[in-house]
Amino acid sequence: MMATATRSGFGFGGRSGVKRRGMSHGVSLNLTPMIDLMTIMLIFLIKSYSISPQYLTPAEHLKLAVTTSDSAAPDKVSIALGLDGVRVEGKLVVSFSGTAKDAKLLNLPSIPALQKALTKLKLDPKMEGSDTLIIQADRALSFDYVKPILRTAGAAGFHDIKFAGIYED
Amino acid sequence: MITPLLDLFVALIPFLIMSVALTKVNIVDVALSGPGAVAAPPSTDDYALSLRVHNSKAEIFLNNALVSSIPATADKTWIDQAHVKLVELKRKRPEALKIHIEPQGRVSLELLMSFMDASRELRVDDAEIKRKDEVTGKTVRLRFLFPQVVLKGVYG
Repeated sequence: MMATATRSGFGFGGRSGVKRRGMSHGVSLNLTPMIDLMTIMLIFLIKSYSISPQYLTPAEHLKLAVTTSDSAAPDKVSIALGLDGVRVEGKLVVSFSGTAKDAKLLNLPSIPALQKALTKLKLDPKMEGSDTLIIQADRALSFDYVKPILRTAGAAGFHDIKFAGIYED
Repeated sequence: MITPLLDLFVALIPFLIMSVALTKVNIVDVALSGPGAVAAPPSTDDYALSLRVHNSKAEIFLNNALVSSIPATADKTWIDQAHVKLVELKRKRPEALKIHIEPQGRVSLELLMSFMDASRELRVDDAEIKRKDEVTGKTVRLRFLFPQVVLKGVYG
């Protein structure tokens, strides 16, 4: 519809435009495809626009599991569990080797370095004493590696645990 | 003239491109069974439903009795089969809300999340399950299956 109106009604592009403009400059610009493209883009972008803010952006190098949960992530503390270790605020706090050497670490009731980092976050006045912790974990990670993290989170005072996932309808 | 329309497009499109979120990160609430973890209220009835997830099979237990054992498949069929069985159980006991999920062995988080999703929500193609609301007395259509997911085995 837009394309038709442009061609016939407004005189850009099309034959009449070429003739009129050709007399003065000898060059014409056909705007119809650009307007068509912009209209399609605008519709797509408006459709995917969300008013509610996104508090959580997926951590780098992590492939999050897919979820059908429609609960949006709140503005709370989050940690990233990758195949190489645990990152708190972007810093690698605990390293995983992915071998049998990790066995000792996995059996600990609490991981001291992580507990220290989490306790520091918990005491941050910005967090207002919230006990919610969002865990962004790589989908390929075995649950064995998540267990000590959950125990440590509990020891640091985070009792409301939420797993982050990429929403798929 | 078409100029104002073009001006509007040129102003709107960059703004929308900047604010668009192509991937949406959502969360799944879990409770942990054991010390230091709270969340799920204590069970008041005798309905203890649990799902044991192995890499090779999924087992559904009701009051410690095995209800169903579903062998793993290469695709997600076994997750769907577990969901169907859980829907069946929910139909018999619509007021039940809690399920214990117990990962066994080296279960990946992706598999675990799939089972959590299958246990939590009713799907569009599931037959309706209705329940009388205790507060209003009206019959309502349920949206959730067992929304209170409790992870077992974290503390030993």
